[in-house]
Order: sequence, then structure tokens, then C-alpha cells
Amino acid sequence: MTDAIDQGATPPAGSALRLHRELSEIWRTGPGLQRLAAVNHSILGIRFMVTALAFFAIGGVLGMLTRVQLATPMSAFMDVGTYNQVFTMHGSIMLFLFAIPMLEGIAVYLTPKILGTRDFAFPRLTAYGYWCYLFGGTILTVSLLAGVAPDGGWFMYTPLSSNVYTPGINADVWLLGVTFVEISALTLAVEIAVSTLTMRAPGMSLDRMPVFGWYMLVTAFMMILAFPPLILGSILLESERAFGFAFFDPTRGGDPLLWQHLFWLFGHPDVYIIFLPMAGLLSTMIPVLAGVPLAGYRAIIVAIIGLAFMSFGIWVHHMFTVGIPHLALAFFSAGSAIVAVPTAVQLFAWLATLAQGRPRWNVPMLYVFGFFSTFVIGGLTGVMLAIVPFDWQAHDTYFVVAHFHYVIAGAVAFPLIAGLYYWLPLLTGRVAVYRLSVPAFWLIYIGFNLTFFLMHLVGLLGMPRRINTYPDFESWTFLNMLSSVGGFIMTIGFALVVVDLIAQIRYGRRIRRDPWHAATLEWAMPIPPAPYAFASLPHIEARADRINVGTLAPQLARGEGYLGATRNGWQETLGVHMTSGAPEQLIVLPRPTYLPLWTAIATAAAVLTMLAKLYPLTLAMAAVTAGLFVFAALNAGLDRDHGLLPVGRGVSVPVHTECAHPPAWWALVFTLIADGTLFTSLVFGLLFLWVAAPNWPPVAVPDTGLALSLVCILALAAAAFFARRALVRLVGRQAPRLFIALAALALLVAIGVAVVLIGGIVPRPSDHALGATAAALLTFLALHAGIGLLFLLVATLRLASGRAGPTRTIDLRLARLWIDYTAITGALAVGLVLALPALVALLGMRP
Amino acid sequence: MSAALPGRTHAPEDPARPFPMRDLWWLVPGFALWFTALSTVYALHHIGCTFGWSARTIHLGLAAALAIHLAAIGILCRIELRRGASRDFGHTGRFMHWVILGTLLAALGKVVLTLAPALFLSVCL
Ligand code: HEM
Ligand SMILES: [Cu+2]
Repeated sequence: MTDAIDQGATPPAGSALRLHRELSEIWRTGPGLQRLAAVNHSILGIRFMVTALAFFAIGGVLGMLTRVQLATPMSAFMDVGTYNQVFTMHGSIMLFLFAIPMLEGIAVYLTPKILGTRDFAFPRLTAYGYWCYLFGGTILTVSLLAGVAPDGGWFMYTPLSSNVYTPGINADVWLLGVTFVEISALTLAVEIAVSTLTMRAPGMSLDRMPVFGWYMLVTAFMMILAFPPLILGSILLESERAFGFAFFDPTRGGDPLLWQHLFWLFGHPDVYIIFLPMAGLLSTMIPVLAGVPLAGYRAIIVAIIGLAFMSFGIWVHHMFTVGIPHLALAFFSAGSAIVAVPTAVQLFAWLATLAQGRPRWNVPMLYVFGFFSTFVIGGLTGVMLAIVPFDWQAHDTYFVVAHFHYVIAGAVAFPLIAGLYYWLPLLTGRVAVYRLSVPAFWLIYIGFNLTFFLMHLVGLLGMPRRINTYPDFESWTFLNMLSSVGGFIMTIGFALVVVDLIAQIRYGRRIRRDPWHAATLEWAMPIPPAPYAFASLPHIEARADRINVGTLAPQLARGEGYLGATRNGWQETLGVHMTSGAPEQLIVLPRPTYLPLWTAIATAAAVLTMLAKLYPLTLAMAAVTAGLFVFAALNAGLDRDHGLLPVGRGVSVPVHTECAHPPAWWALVFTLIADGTLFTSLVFGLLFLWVAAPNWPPVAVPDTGLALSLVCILALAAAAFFARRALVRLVGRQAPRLFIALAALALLVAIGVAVVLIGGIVPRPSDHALGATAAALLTFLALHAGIGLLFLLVATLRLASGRAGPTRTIDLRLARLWIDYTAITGALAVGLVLALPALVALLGMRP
Repeated sequence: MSAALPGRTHAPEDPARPFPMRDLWWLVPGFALWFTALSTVYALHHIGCTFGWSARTIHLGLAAALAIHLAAIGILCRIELRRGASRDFGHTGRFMHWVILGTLLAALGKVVLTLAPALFLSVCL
């Protein structure tokens, strides 16, 4: 099966330079406009980070505008409407367009390098995520210039954000724009999870993975589980605003609290999603700066896994004042306070590391110190707020604003700047010559504490948040003025950092290798990194954060590791066994392409037409987007078998297209976990409304056609069966076409029946929340069946073109998995709709 | 410090069998059970109050939910302890055993600390 070209992987005696030239040619991204086609992780990572910093600047200006407005009482600087837009956009930009994308950029840029591989698993998806982020962020920012920006606060509570109270498109901009941006969060989360689990340097078993990898892995899974409730909430609220579905309207059996639950189910984990990667940076930098290995590696891993889960179980602490029964308040309060424990485990591990070593007082260290003090204060005020009686006093005052800026602004900005200074030599190949960063630090540090510490006090003095002006109370006035002064000092500090960074990038002293005596793999490569990152992949035999970079780097450059030669012009890297890190597959990555850009443009068109309420066009654009995805799938992979190929060091593995579990398989598994979370949230929504919402039961008695419902379930089951048969035939080298067609037919029947069922729902979705949730469940089913059709279409086309076949079965296996999932959730959805009359009858038993 | 030097073929202490991928899921159930315990207690209390169950019934229901979850985590701990002793997957196995056991025990403590005290409070207020 293999031919002479395939065998090219024996390390040549040639020089490092020749290998570098060959690899550079294969991995290069074209100049000029061709950069829009970039799919390389180094380019995209930097793009994410730079864009996030630009949004940080915009968000920072908006923050400063609020401080100008609040510096003096009865200020006429901004009117109420403008102020509402400004603070809402400040918060939304900082969280959705700065913090999350920043961590994505860091993940994309650093993770493959720290884990010793050449790129992430789905470069085109990274690019698509980037464009979605950029376009979504642009839509939000332009709305601000147009004066129609979201103005309901960053958490968009209903009923304020419903179209009764926000009739303009302001809230739609938020719901659609943020959801658009979240596409990038979800795609990247899946990608980070798949890549850290399956693409590491050979030999890097999980216990040898640098703790940064663990942080990224845990963060990725948190994103997979946290974003779906927000996305669901946004879809439901948008459908209420656009089509009058009654989800959150209490007069029609909805409940505004459902929004709060869905939002904070995302919102609280979000805080940790932002913090954990920063902690990952700290855990990587601190040992190097202290000159000793990290203390408590295993304890940290248990702590962050615990933290990840715990953060999902304490969302109600944002809702302590909405009228939750005391008993529930008690355990949500206890849960919130206990989150301090895993956080403290990390804090003490860092302190222990510093205490064991000899910390160098350089620039990154200075900012690490800034982090420690702000984060501890923010953590402590967090525990205060977890105590219910205190929260009742401080809720919605500036105390809360102070608290969350200490934890999300302080605990992000300081480690981030520390990390920038630490990794900038890697990115640019230069180290700083000026020391502007030190005065900048003190300006930021003093300014930050002045701005935000005083907010605690003015909050305790009773000043509510989100007010655009206040009467001239002696105590408030003085503190607000001082707080604004602090804001300006801090801004000057940030500006100095920017100047310093630009100076370092342009005029810094050139270096050839690691300036910190670091011990992780990202430094064992040419600096700044070549697009292929590693000329050959290292073999790991001990903890991969205790590496001797100085000896390893030249060996890798000479091609003495894995994949130390080029073949077929392929962009190659290795896939490994998840736990042991043994090499299992040769992953061939896609070349630069404009497809992600076009797909994102089509998606943006769908979002914009929806904003303009041109729904038929939206459907068309959504179809184009789906079509482009299908098109992207058509030429993925390879068109023939290659058998076992040598990858160096005497090891031979198959190409990923010939493996049972290539990265795409795991990507679908993790996507389905996210999707399942969305479905579960929807079911939770229905049950929540059932027990908690006013105006239940509805006047009209619900009634769903039993016969039709059963047809729907049967059709789904049949589709799953036929998909299975198709796969069996393919593996047995028989034509699977008939069964693929039957599966598609069954899915079509299911879709048709679901549409009929939706049409017949009683009470109508616009009359009562019961009808609305029933419609949502059935729409979920129809949509998934529709996507199932796309999977079958891709499989058919690829079988016809020879890209799929008896040994390259991944397409049909993905289709089968998706249809299985559709059948299970679909049956549950229909079952739930059928159970509605019984649920309603049960309500009659209420006292 | 001699990690990652290319040139040597394999580390002598590498286990014959790698730690099974499937067992990675064991990182999940400990805290997942804490989460379902929390959700069950929250939902059960709410449903009980909505349908006017007596305080005693609600308390019993909550205690039962908690007990079931504690027992479940306890059983998982036992299984993991046994497996740690009986299976050998080398250094990765020892590491995973430690981490899995850590999450299970932490989850156990967390269920007790966060949920048990609430059982002594009056219901439906
Ligand atoms: C340039 C420095 C900053 C200043 C001067 C600043 C100032 C403010 C002020 C005064 C408010 C209160 C608005 C109000 O309630 O009326 C606010 C809200 C907020 N800030 Fe900042 N902030 C800064 C940086 C950040 C950062 C870095 C983040 C997050 C990463 C952040 C996240 C938020 C959020 C989420 C809100 C809540 C918005 C809302 O109430 O809807 N801020 N900020
Ligand atoms: Cu929270």
C-alpha cells in the first residue's frame, strides 16, 4: 500500500537548516491578502490576542467614561440612555470580547507548543472561530457608534430586556451578537479538549503533562458545559422578542427567573473559565521565576477539577435576593464559601513554590505580586458576599462592582501582563531594553486599588450600581471623585505598558534562546517560532515541565525526534493515546484556505439579516453556511490508503484517516456533550416553569397527537438502525448506499412529522409558555434530524469521490453517532411533550 | 533533569498496558454526584413545597436523597481503592488513581459540608 514517497520519514543526515527550509515551505502562509487564509495556530493565536487587546482598549475607554460620569454628582456628561449603553457595553465587551477571546488566544498560541506538537487538531475551525469573534465583536461595537447598543446591563435580565420594555433592537444586538461570538468559544473549547487529550509529544502521559495542559483541559470542558445554557437562554429570549413565544413573560406562564437561572448557570462558571487559564499561566511562570519545580502538582490538579465542578453548583448566589427558600439559600451559601478551598490550594502551592525557591524580582514577578494581593482581596470579599445576610445588604451596590473587579479585572490583568512580559521574548525574539514596565506597574497597581477599593466603601455607604448620577452626598461625592482619579492613574499605567510593549517588539534586544531558563517545551524551538513550531517532536520520558531546553532544542532542530523529515508535502503531526501518550496516528493537517473566512461571512450575514428581521434571508444565509460546512468536509482527509507509515525512532503508525478514533471522532463526542447540556437545560426550563411559574396550568388543555408522536419516534429509531446497517456494510466492503438513503428518508419523515406536530401544539406557543417549550423541544428534534441529513450527505459525497471507503469510515461513523444522539434526545423530547397533559393534571393536586 | 532527550527508545518503567482511556471518565462521577445531589435536594424541596407535602415528608425525602448520593460516592471510593491495589498501569496509573481518589474524597466531603447542615433548617420559608 505504501510507496517510496511515503517512506521519506527516515531522519536524513542533512542539516537543521535544510529541514527548516523544507518544513517552512510546507507550513507557510502566503504574504499579503493570503494571510486571510491563515490557519496556523501561531498566527491565529496572536490574532486572537491582539484583537482581544483592542477590545480591552475599547472596553477600557467605556469604563473610563463611566468614571467621568460618576466623578461628580448630578453630572451632565452623559444622559441616562447613553450611560446605560456605555456601562452595558463596557461589561459585555470586557467579558465576551476581551477576557474569553484572550484566553482562547493564549490557548491557541501556547498549548500546542507547551504540549510538544505542531498545531491544534482543527486549524480551519480555529480560523472560523476567529472570524466569528471578529465579526460578532464588530457588530456589537458598531451598534455602539450607531447609538443602538445593548443597554440592559451585561446580564440582560428580563423583563427589562423583553420587547415590552426594550422595544428597539438594542437587546437583539446583544442576544445575536454575543451568541455569534460564542460560536468561537464553543468551537475552540472542543478543539482545546480534543487537542490536549490526543495531540501531545509522544511519551507525554497525563502524569507528565505540564500543569498548563491540565488547566486548559479543565477550562475547555467548563466551556463545553457552561456556554450551552447561555446560548439556549439567548435563543429563547430572542424567539420571545422576535416571534412572541412566551418563555419569560409571567402573564403567559413564563418566568423571568428562568432567564436568571440559565444566565447564571453560565455566568458563574464563566468567572472560573476566565480565571483558570490565568492560573495556568501563573503555575507555569512561578516555578521558573522561583527556580524550583511547582509544589503540589497532583493537589493542584484535584483542586482545579473540583473547582470546575463546584463552580457549576453555586450560580444561585447571584440570585440571593429574588426570593429563594431559606433552605436552598443555606446550601448555595455554603457551597459558595467552600469554593475558596480549591482556590486556596492553588494559592498555597504557588506560595510554597516561591518559598522553596529564590524568586527573581523581575518584571513578570512584579505583576505576579500584583495578582496575589488583588486576588486575595477579591476572594475574601467573595466569601463575604456568599454570606446571605451580608449579600442582602450589599447586593447591587458598588461593593459588588468592587468585588468583581478585584476578581475578574485584577486577577486577569495582572497575570496577563506578567504572562505578556514572560512570553513576549518567545513571540518576538526580543527582550526589553527599557524598564518602563516598572513605573507602569506601580501606576496600574496604585490606580487599580484606588479606583476599586473605594468602591467597596461607597457601596457600603449605600450607593447602588448602574446609576448614571447621584445627589451630592458628602461621603459619596468625595469617594467617587477619588475613584475616578484612580481610574485615570490606572489608565496611564496601561498606556505605558502598551508603549513599553511596542518598544520591546520594535527595539528590544534580539535573543536566540530562552531568557528565563525555563523548563517547558515551548522554549525548545527557534525563537520566534517557525510556523511548524517543532522541526521534530520530542520524546518525553519524565515530567514535561522539567526539561533541559538547552540540550533538547538543537537535537529537535536537527530532526532527531519524531517526524524529523518531510513527506508528500504534508503538514504532519502525531496523535497519541490519551493517557499514555504513545504515538497512535499520523495527523495530516489542512493547508491555508479562505473557506473559514467565507463561512464566517455567511454566518455574519445570517446574523445581520436576523437583526434586520429579514427572516427568509436568514434562512437562506443559514443554508449557505451549512453548505460551506459540507463543502469543507468534502475535501478533508486523504483520498487513498497509506497503511503504516514510519514516523521516526523506529515507530510506524497509520494516517489519522485510517484510524477508528481520529480527532474528529472525539470532537463530535465533545460537541454532543455540549449539545446534551443545551438539551438538559431546555428540559430543566420546562420543569422549572411547570413548578415555579405563575399562571399555570394554561387555560387550554394541552393535547398532542399520540399516533403522530409515535411515528416520529419510530422514524428516528429507524434512521439510527439504517445508519448502523450502512456502516456495517461499508466495513464489510458492500455498497452502503441503499441504507444511507433509507436513513435519510426516515429522518425526513421525522422532520415532517415534527413540523406537523409543532403546527398543532395547544396552547399556541405565543399564548402560553407550555406551548412555547413544547415547540422548542420539537424544533430541537427537527433541527438535529436536519443536521443528520447533512452528515449523510457528506458521507455519500465522500464515498462517491473516494475520500471515504471501507478503511476510511469516519464519515459514516460520525453520521451514525449523530443520528443515535438525535434518536435518543428526540425520543425524550417527544416523550416529554406527550407527558405534558399529565404534568398539567398533576398541578391540580397543589393545595 | 534528563527528560525528553531524543535518542533513547523507551523508558524502562513504562507499563506494558497503558491506563485505559475509558477510565478517564472516572474523573467525573465524584463531583458530578455532588452536583446531582445539590440539584435533587433543590428540586425536591421545591416540588415538595409546591405540592404541600408535610415538613416531615420533605425532610425525609431530602435526607434520603443525600444518603443515596453519599452511598454512591462511597461505593465509588471503595471500587477505586480496590482497583488501585489490584491493577498496575505504571506511573500513569498511580497518578490517575491518586487524582481520582482525590476527587472522590473531596466530593464526599463537599456533599457533607454543603448539603447536610441544610437538612436541619425549616422548610418552605
Ligand atoms: C479600565 C478599567 C475599568 C474601569 C475604570 C471600570 C469601571 C467600571 C464601572 C464604574 C462599572 C460600573 C458601572 C455601573 O454599574 O454603573 C463597571 C462595571 C463592570 N465592569 Fe468594569 N471597569 C474596568 C475594567 C474592567 C475589566 C477588566 C473587566 C472584566 C474583565 C470589567 C468588567 C465589568 C463588568 C462585568 C461590569 C458590570 C457591567 C454591568 O453592570 O452590566 N471591568 N466597570
Ligand atoms: Cu458567581
